[in-house]
Amino acid sequence: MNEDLKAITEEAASAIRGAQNHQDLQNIKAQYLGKKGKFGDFMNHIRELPSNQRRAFGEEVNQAKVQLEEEADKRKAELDQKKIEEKIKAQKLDISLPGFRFTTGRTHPLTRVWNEACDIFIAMGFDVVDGPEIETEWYNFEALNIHADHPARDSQDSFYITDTTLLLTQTSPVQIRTMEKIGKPPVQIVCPGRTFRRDSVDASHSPIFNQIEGLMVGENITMSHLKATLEAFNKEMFGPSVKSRFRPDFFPFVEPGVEIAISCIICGGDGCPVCKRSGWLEILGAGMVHPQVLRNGGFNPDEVSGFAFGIGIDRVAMLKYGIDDIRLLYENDIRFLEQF
Amino acid sequence: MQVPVDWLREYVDFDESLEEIAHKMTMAGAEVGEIATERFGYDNSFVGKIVKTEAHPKKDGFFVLTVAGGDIERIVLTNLRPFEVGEIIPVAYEGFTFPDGKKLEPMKFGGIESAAKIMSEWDVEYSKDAGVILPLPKDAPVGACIPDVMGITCKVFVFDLTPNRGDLLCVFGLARELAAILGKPLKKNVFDVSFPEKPGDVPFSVDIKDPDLCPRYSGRIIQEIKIEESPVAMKRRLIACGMRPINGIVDVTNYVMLEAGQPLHAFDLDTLEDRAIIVRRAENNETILTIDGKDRQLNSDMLVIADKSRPVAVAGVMGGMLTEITDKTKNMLLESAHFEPRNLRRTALKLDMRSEASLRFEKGVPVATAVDASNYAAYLIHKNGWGAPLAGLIDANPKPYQAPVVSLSFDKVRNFISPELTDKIIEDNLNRLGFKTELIPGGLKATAPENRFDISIWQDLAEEVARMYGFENITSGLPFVKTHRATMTPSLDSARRLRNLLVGCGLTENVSFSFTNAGELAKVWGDNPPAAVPLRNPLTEDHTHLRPSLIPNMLKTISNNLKNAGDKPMQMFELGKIFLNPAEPTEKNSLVIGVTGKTFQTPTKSDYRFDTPGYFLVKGIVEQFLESLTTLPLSFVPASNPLLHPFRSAEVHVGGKLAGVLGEVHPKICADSDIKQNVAIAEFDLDVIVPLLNATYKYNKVSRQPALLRDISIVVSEDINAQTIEEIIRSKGGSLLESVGVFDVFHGEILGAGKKSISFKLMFRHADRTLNDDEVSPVMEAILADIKLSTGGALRDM
Repeated sequence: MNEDLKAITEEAASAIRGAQNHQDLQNIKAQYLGKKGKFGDFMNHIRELPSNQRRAFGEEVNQAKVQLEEEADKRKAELDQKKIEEKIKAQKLDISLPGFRFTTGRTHPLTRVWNEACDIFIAMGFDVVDGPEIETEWYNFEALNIHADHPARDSQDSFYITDTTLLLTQTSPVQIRTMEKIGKPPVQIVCPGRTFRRDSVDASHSPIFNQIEGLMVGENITMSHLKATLEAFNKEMFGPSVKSRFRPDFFPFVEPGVEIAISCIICGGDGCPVCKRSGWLEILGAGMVHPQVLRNGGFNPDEVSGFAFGIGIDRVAMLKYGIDDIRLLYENDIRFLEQF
Repeated sequence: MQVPVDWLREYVDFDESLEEIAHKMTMAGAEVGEIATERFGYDNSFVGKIVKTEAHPKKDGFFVLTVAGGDIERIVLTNLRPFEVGEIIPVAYEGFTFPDGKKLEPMKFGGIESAAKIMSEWDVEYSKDAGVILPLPKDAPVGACIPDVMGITCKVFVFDLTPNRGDLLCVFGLARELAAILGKPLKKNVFDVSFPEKPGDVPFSVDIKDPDLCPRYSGRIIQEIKIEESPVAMKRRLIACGMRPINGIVDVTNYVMLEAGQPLHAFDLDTLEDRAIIVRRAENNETILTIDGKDRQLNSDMLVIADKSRPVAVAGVMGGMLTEITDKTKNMLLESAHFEPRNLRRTALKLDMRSEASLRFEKGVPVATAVDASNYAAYLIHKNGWGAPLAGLIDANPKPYQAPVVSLSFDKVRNFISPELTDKIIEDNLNRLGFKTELIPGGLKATAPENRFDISIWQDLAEEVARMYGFENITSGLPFVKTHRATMTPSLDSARRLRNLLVGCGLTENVSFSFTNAGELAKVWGDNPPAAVPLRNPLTEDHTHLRPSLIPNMLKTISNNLKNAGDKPMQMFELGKIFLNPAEPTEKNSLVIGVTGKTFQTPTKSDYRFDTPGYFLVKGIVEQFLESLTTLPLSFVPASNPLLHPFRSAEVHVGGKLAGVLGEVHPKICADSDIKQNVAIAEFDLDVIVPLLNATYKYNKVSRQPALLRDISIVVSEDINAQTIEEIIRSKGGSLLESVGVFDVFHGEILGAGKKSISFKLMFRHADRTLNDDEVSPVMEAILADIKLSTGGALRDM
């Protein structure tokens, strides 16, 4: 009988190891270990043995059962693993197919620059204010020292709404409006705005464009402050290695007037077509607020001074993103917008 | 203003390269835009090598030469002499400008075409001989430009000057500036001249009637006038400055203007009635025939120079034809005067006459040196033997020029420019520019040089100091200010936050022009468009009005994009200003959303998920957008908006307030806008939307108990809408119903005609304990019973 047990156990173990699937394994286990299985015969046989042999044979049978149960568990784990592997194999995808997408919104490049610029100035203590787009001649011209016969009006051919109102040609009118509103120093504001000039549309001209106006008025505000503020802006906007160049220019509402250029962000200053081989890109007009403009805003130029500046947002956006045609900024071509 | 460098060198010595000088002047405010090479019109010429020579087939004695140099090859016809192949000759070709101003043009001779000629000595004014071939230097490289090898070129600074610096519109002014920048003395003064005067015995008169418009007028007679060509050197300077030589007398007036900045005018004295100069306003309806041959209508705003009976010049702008210098002129009257810039500018604009003279007067010409300039011109005319200046110059000077005297405080300059500017730096820099300074307590008193009439306040002086010190050299230092919390004004802040939310809802931002036109509005609104604010002076027919709505631009954008980008999904918005009420124009922000295109794939065959979604897509976006702003309930009620599809549009109410409309664009408008697919839009009233941004958030308890879900499909008549059934579910669901939502709508033959099936998902939950089926079943029964009763709808058998 002992030989039988050994042989059967080995036969069962081999059958378990050879089970091809879970059902197979289940059947084999029933065949050997089930109540009516071969081991059932051994259990019956125990009762037929002399009592002194029963115990020893019973232990042997139990050991064999435990061994087979272990074999079965092992095989089950193997079959589990096999099953997952087969499933995984069946789930193989062409991972190069496109992903499922939902439509995402994009922020317009002008808004991006606008936001960035406002954040830079807020961080430097400038409040961001708003102004109207339909402006009076007083705020747009006279109060800014641009009288009716001023040569500066040559370049500011404007869209009129009535005899005395027009679409603002620059964001500078907000200087006067803000000084009037705040009434006392210090004034430290920027104003983003849309501006209008009677220019025909082409790759570099647009009758509508955008500026950010800045104004700081207080006691002993100097040109040194102007330089530092705008150098800081340029570095924040264009990167820490960008250099700023300041040179005299003329705007009727400032004195001295300053033109500010940054080292070319395309070529780094070596000269390229974008900077017309000069190494510099003009992006800003600025200056110390003209005493008459301070007076027009209700301030006493003997007590306070200030600086003002105007940044061309379209130009900044074009330089920053490498846009070579200003029309793209207003045509809303989806192929353009979705790049931002 | 363009200036030959050697003319500047007459006044200032420098060793720096031209680039360095240009940079220095630019950084001090006189921008040099370009350093050009002037070739006096001789550019189209080259040192040519004869590569082929033939006798002319039809014309005896003529030869046909083929000449090459560099990239150029030309046919030359000549009868000068026979030439050999390999000979080097100077060749001018089409476009070459001869000394008399004529241009070389291609011609045909005996059937052979030629666009070039062998150059004579006269062609580049080497001599007056037009019959002698220009001798070339022995080493002249083949292909080189003739003026380059002959040394007939000069370097020219092309300045881009600012309009406030009228004093720089002349060589002498720029030389002064350069000398100051370099810290060098001027080598000479342009006005330092002397010449003999003939005793004056010809009576004439100058009478200024309007001293405000003409503070100074000087006249002098020059007799024995000879009209001749100017010397080559003078002509070349005029050309290099961009002017055309005419004759000696005219050239002198221009030359003095270019060098000294004073525009001059020459009258034929014998044409002036009574030899009288009267400076007065024109009479209304008076006319003058100007030297350009046009009859000009004058009015009393305009200043004229008149003789006894008629205007003879528009003051400072243009002379009259009947009194101008001609070949027959024997005696001339030379005018050197000053005119008020603003009035002169208005006159020039009104008559549409801008001249080199008027441009200078507009920007200001020094009053102080009017007579000096006249003297300089008389000196040049005398020196060239073109006339004899008569003694007895009349200088009518009713408002003698006072040089500006301005005081400044050193501290104020430091507190305005930069603390590093010492008293000495301030004083030295002003002195370099020719200001005479005198120290006063705490500052100085500066008298401006006679050409700096633009100086009037101490800030002007501070600017001069800063320019000379160099903006580049001013130390940068951030201002010390009282700290405050910088903010964005609410209108901008809310626009910015809305833009961010809208982008978050999958919408791409548009920015478009503020303009529109009647046709564009009619496309959308037909015969009844909203009133738009018209522009007084539109530039183009497309842009005649300010937009009263953002919708036309949105439709145009979608239409264009469908053409350019195919059926890409498009979900866009624009938040910008619109303009209303033409009688009293007002501006306000508006917000429009526009969507079209295949936006998502269709996982089921359900007709609820459209291929090109319209109404439901824009509604979903609007719901998401508004729910991100507020917890107030949203409701959608049928809209009657002529722009929208009557059965696919709705008003959206937020907390009971009308906040906007949305829906598919009316098919007729789509057709008129050339759009062939579903487009849906939404337009909001920002007066309702913006206050929602101030919503505050409060936590509602989240239950930890498990939920019980029930899906039901109700078959119901087509005209019952989902909202009706949903409201029944809510009301019967009671406190255990947590949420209910539609997840499918189905039409099909299986349901019968005029029927649809709407599927709802219901979620039940108890706040404090686990729910069981026995509790939910009666609620479900009550719901179904009420649906049956109220709508006739029944549970669908699955």
